[in-house]
Amino acid sequence: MRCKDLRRQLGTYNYAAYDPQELPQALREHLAACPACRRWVSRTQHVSDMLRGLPSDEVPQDFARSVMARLDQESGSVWERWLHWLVGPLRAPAPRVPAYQLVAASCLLLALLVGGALYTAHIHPTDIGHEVVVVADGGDPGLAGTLVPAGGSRLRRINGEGDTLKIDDLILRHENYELGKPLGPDPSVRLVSETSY
Amino acid sequence: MSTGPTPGLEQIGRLVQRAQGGDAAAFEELVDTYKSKIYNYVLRMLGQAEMAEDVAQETFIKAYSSLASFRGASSFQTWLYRIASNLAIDTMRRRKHRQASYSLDEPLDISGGQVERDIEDDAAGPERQLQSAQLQRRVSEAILQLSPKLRTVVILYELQGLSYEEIAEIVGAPLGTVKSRLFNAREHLKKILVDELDLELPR
Repeated sequence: MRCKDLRRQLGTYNYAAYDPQELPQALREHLAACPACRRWVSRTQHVSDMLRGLPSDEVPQDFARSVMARLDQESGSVWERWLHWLVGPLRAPAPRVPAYQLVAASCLLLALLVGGALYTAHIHPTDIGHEVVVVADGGDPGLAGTLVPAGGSRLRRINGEGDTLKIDDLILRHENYELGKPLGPDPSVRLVSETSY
Repeated sequence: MSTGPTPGLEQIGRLVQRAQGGDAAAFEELVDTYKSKIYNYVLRMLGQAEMAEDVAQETFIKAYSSLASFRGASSFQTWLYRIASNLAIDTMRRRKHRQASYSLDEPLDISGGQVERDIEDDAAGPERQLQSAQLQRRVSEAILQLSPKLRTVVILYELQGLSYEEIAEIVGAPLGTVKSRLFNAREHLKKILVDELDLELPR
């Protein structure tokens, strides 16, 4: 064995558990015969010991609380805070429901609440992941253009009674406040029931 | 928050799931569990307490906003370390000129608050040396002179006690590369401690 080989092997050794007697025989034999490598091992082990001897520092007081305060602060606008109050935190989306979809669904809820007299709506924030049956009351089927698939590029048409949409498949065209606009005063689409899937 | 024993892996998994569902209290418990490891890791990487606190907090904030992308393929701890590593290295890059102009007159914020550097001789034996604040400062300074890549590996292995496999996952490098970086880091540290800080190593 060459010095170089021994140093490569012991250069990445876990010196917290160093026991020369447990080294492979080839290493032990080389060490026994090579004072330079013994010195090299001793120094490497010493450096490792010094590193492991470094103490941990105390975490600043109220660290966790500061993190939570920053999260709260960074949760954003009045609008987001309102949604937070309404549906809970948005910054920790569940795997199947990304935050933007939650925002979109909440916007849908808001719009429906605002225009409540015009709709028969049964959507609640907890309905994310539910399937909603959409009924078109005649009129312009293009009305469904206010809702677009999650991909965002193609408008979703509602073809008539019994047509279904999944709430978490939808986002609003402009994410926030546009839902009510194209519907006009006489909406021909209403959401009348929902089922779990 | 909790000061009891560290939660087991199963309990961590449940906390992560609850946090993913938007449970802020569960996330706060996760912060409480890992804050010491992450803060100390970042502190050793950066050498400045204030900056380390900021980066450690940022680590948890980033983790919170990315919880949906955590699939559990790696452990939550490994995932946190990965975020902390990236943020710490970004911070180092932004402040590179300050690292390069590191001065012996500048206070170092590690172990026991701010202390002035002092390179007087310490004639005590190795065991006492290990406990001496002065030696600890010298070793801390030496770590800060390593390149970010070597520093990351040596801190994670020697100070944080992680395995090669965990480190490989954190730094996104093969095991062989991790070992090679540890080898180089130890060799550099020996050289720095002896040549630049005049420390006496075993003969």
